[in-house]
Amino acid sequence: MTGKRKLPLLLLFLTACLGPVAGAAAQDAAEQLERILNPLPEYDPFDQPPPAPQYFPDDVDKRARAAMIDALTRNDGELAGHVRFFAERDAQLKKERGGSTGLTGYVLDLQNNTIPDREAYLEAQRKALSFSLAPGHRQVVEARIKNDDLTRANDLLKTSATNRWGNAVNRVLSSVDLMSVLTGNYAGAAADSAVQQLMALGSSDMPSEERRALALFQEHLKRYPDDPKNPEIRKQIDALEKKKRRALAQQQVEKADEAVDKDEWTKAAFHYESASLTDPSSREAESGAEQLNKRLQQREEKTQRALTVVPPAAQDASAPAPAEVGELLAALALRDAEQIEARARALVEPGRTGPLAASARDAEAVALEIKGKHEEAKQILRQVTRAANAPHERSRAEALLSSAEYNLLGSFEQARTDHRLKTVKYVLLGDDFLRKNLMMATGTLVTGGPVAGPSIAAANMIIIGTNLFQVLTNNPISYETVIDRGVEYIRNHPESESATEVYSVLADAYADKGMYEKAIEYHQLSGQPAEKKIADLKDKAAKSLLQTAAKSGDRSAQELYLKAILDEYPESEAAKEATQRLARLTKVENQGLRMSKQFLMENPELFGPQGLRLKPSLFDGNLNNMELADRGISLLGQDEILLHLQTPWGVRSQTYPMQPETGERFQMALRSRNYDLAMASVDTRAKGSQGGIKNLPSSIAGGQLAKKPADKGTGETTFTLVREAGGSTTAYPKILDHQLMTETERNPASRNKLPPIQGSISASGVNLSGGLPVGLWGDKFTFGTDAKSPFGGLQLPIPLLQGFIPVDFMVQGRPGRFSLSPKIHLSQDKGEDPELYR
Amino acid sequence: MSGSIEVTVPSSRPPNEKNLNSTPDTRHSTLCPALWLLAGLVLSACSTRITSEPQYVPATNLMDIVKDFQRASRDDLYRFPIAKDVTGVNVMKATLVRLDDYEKKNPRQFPDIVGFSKATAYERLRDYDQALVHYRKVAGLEGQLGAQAAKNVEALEAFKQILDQPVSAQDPFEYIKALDDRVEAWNTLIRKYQGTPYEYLARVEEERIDRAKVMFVEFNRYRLREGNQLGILGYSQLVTKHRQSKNYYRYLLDFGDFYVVLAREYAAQNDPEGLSFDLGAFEQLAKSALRLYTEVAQVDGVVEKIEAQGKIEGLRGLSEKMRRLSR
Repeated sequence: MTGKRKLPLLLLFLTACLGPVAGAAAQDAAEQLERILNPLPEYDPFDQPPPAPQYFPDDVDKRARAAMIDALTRNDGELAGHVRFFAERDAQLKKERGGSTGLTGYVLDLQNNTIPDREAYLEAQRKALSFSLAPGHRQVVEARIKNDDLTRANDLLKTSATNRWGNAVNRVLSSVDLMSVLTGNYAGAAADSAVQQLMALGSSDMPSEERRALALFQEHLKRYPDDPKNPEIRKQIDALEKKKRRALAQQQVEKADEAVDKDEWTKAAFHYESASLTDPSSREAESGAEQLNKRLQQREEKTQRALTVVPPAAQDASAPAPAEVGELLAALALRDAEQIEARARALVEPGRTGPLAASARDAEAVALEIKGKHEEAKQILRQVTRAANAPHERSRAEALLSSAEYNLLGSFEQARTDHRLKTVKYVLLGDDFLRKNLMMATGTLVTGGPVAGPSIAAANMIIIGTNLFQVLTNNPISYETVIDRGVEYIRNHPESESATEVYSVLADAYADKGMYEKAIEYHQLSGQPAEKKIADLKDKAAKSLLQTAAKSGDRSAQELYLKAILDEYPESEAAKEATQRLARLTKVENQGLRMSKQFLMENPELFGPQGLRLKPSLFDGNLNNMELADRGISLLGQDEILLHLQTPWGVRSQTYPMQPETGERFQMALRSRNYDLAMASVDTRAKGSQGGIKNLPSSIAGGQLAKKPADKGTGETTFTLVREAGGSTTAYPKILDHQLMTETERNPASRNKLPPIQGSISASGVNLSGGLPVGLWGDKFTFGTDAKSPFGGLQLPIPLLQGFIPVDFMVQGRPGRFSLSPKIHLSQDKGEDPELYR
Repeated sequence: MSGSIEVTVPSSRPPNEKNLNSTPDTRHSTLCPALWLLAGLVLSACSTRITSEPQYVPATNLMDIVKDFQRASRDDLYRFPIAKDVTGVNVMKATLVRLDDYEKKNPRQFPDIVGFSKATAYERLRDYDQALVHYRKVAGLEGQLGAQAAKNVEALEAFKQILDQPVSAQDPFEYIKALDDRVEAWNTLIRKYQGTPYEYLARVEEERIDRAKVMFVEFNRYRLREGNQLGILGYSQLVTKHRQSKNYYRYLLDFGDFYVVLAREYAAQNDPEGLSFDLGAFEQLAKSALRLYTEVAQVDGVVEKIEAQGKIEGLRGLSEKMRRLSR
């Protein structure tokens, strides 16, 4: 064998020896990678189904079935017998084994539901409480008693009365320091409370508790038309209705009076009319409307007079002869601007200043108006107003210049001036300056006399500082009028010289309102946009969209906002964030119905044998037997589930096929859990409010019932339209893109949420007060410093008096002594739908 | 309404003469300016009542009337509404009243000017018959307005010709076709009178026909195949075509109302408490309405904004009711 022949053989030999080693190393690396990516390829996250329950119906089961059938078929007479049977069986079981069927309360419910009389029904419910009811069931029965319309209405009326008197007493007590009174210093307290009572008398509002009570009384009448208490209730309804009408009418009258003050007469007439319709007996509405009608009538008379022409005899004798003005009139009638100008100039002789000259100058203004030179026309009118020898022409020019309809720029400028004035007034006087000062200073002045001046001045300085801060950060004075007038001007005179300034003002106003897109648009329209300003606004606009997207719970809306950022503001910083968020949204793990691990652990029924049947080891915290990551799971459809698994290499997501029946079982478990949670809070939340799992997709809550019947191809047009507009109506796709999480996960800030703290300003210093977390003895804390000394205080309910006399005491500690102020405990309206009772 | 207020305050002692340690006598004298000021304020308050308001001063001659008329008149009545004069009255109507009064008090004075101005006001108010009567009179008179009046007569006769075309009320499709023909005819006039006031008047007429077509579809949608879709299509075309119109925001509100009608009808056909009701389908329609209302509610300087805000609140109430009934 030659050397040349030996070489290939050697290579072959080497390959035969080394090949498997190198190949094995590569294979190991691949396996390692595969293991990292898919830690347990054969892993089945689902548990085995439990054995089917064995069911042997006994007498109790048979009787329960019979009771349900009798209830459904309204065979009311038999129900009493069933109740008796279960009560006896319970007694027997208790005697034998110390147990019970646990069904007596439910069967009793079936019987109680047939009682039409309210009193008897409530009595039956109270009686039911004496049975050994399941905890959840007990809550339901208690809720029924508590939620009775008449009981609630009466309770609300009592609360309202307590609040009314409590408020009055608190106004007195708020200025009473028991320690001071004991030392004989009560003049200041008396003055303070007198002023505050007077202030409170002005209010004509009807408390929401009374309005709720009214609605509940009416509901009671509807539900129990034959109740013996109804005549008395009707009287109460009448009284409350009258009060409500008065309050509503008064509100309308106040709006009307405000409109009258602003010379908005049609608006005022509308509100007076509304007040009269609400309460036909309202004297304020009647007299207000009467006065307004007189004014309107006067204005109408003036208008009619203005539409007439002065008789020839009364006209100025020196009026120009028709021949002189005929040509100018013809030019005016033809709207021929050039001709008007030519004829007008011909009429104005040099040095002539009489009525004819002024009239001709006015005609020149008309010509400029026809040419679209509005501002130049106004300039001429201003000159006419200075014409000494033409009072009539001067008056007409003044009327035009002061007309909001004609002088739009003037009314825009006026609106700007008003806005500035109101802003300054707000800074200096704030909201209801006089009232604040009266309430704050009366007592101090009475007790301290002129010496109290500096402390009142200091308090006012603080008020001014607060107002200034408010104006600088979020000006409460509305820009609406300025914007309306500005827009009106540029709509009518877009080409005028002043339009540039108006555009800029509008842009700034919109920026202040947070409407950045419009602000940018107006800056660009102004023709002199500052690049930096535009860039800043674009940045703000993009950030605003980003925030809106974050707040939106709707996935498609989020996508829309994020895409808008990329389309409109691709150069902004927010665009980078928007790109990332969009990418995250489109990932598969962010689709479907996601449930966090925490949520599942709080609701074990959902992943247990009656739910998804996931292995319990996924939740035991042991990474060695596979553990679910905090992200939890995502149901991607009827037959697919995505598990986010915690591995030594981080979170790995793995999709598993799912049996359709698992999906259905899960939905049932979810609805069942939702029901249990709702029942658990039935006695603590408002009647009619929604309980259960927050953000539960409505399609699941409704179950298959929400599914629309199959399309039968009807020719009905509306139905066709809706079908097309709404797209697919199958239930399951709607649960996609929802997240079920615990409250802490949904709102991480809530964990560290501080109780609300408010700052209040008294005559002598600053007070800070806040609510205390539930569970502590005190309700409220205060601390701060006043003219006397630093202080710290706690509002405490008195244990012995709690529930008996609604009085709390504010204990304040000061260097060297304590003070004690009593306070009536007021109830706040926590009912459902507060806006329906405002 | 604002009367001129002129407050004359008599000059008080110069500041340098002010004595800080004033005796009772001098204190009395320092009160004087305050009293004067008070008196001035009282007088000025009275003067607001007695000063005549300039906007209500009647015209003294024909020149005043014609100047006021032309100053406030606009050629483009398609984009802008008819202006109000300083008293707040529609300037066309106000001019007609003033000219009538002028004629009564000054018979046979400037008949051509009066007639021509009246005709212009009538045509802007779309009373073409009256406008024609006055233009014809002026055309028959001697003077420089005659030639223009004759031209205007020709234009208005073309208008009348289109308006007087008979429309069949028997067959909806013939009716629609007749409306389409009218739109085409108005388009011809728009092109013919481009740049003149008649272009804008023709646009106004064309817009009215377009609106009438949509209304016809809306009223008869149950007789038409896919009537609801046709209604939506009609409104979409109306708001697209007449984006420049003064009535644009009105159309947006009407379009929103149409969606609300569809939503209500859906709720009437599918009991919200029953199983056939699909909240998503209802909300789809409600959202479409909301989008249109919101567009108007965001526009500043238009009265429709108030209406849009109210409608949004109304729609919120309706949606809330349906949501509660259906859950």
